[in-house]
Amino acid sequence: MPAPKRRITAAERDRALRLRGRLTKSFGVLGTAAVAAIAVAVAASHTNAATSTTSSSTTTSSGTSATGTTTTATPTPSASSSLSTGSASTGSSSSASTVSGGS
Amino acid sequence: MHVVVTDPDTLGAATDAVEGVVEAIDLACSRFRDDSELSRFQAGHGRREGIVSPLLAQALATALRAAELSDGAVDPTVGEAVRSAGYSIDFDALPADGAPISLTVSPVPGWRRLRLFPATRRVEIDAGVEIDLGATAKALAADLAAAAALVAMHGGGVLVSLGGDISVAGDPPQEGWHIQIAENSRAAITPDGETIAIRSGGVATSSTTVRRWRRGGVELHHIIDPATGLPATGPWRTVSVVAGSCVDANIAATAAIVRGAGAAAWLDGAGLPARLVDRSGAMIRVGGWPAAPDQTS
Repeated sequence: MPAPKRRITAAERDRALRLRGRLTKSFGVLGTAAVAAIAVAVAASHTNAATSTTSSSTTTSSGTSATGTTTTATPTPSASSSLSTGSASTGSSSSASTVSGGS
Repeated sequence: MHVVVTDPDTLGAATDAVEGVVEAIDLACSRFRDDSELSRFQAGHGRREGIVSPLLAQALATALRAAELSDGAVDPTVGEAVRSAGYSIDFDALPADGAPISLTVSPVPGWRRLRLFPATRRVEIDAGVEIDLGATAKALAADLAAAAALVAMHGGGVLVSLGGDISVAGDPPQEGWHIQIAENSRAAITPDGETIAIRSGGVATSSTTVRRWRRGGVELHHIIDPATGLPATGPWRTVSVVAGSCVDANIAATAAIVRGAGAAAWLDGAGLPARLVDRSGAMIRVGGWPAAPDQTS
């Protein structure tokens, strides 16, 4: 039976971000997946949820969906043994905020 | 450097964080600064060994990973080759034209002659090997900067562009981050310019058309083919890639320039959305890259 979900508190989220900051300082880049994982782990510690709930978690913080954070993960470059893939859709030039080109 | 945030109130914090990362990477990795950690570490021509900072260790780890994943197409031991080709000082100070130079076809030493022991951050560089992190350090800086900005912002979303190497972090705008693709990152955004949208990861473009110079009337550029030690001569002049991080997009884009004819199939097989422009200006799109604007209606 799935563990009940609850909203993650602002304090818990801040704690996750602080931890991420320390980890970033010590080990360099960490993806936002780490933040989401830490936040979900904090939530899980309060709900006794199994870690397998991470991928389907919809915990929220201050009304902002944490699921959105999960989908914007930036993998740690040195952690993967293959190139991480991404996806793109057609954009609008009127909404473009920058240019990717040679430099 | 270009920083875009979803919450205007966080722009100052984000920009400060990005600037801090960029300065740190420059001080650790630049080969154009005598006072950079890399320059000091690899001074001299004999075997060099020692312990490096966490940031330089990460940059070296990223470069070695790029070499491994690209089967050596992106190699950090191109330092001597790129310097011999005339790119010996910061590009902005490099004369656009100059007298003939003598170039020799010779493979670069190879990335296995640079060793990093991550647990201790011990680095060994064999004699005669010169490291150049230019292929991956800027993309790494973009990823690190976006992550640092997100922490500084305490939420929201951020896009960081460093010379066209783009990384995004956090919650994207509802319609995603819209990015125009060009051969030159300094190009202005135009109404008819090809534009894509991403929600995570990064975009990078490698091109032989921008960082170019002439010696003895011969056009040279900065992307070295490790197999020859000379500027790459493949069919692609510009390659843009979307990946899960800016570093990975950059690795793939640069490797594609070096790989040449087989690059499109390699990118497609890896599931990497990519847009390749050949020397004539003709384009192909693979790996799920959005269709050309005139093919979408």
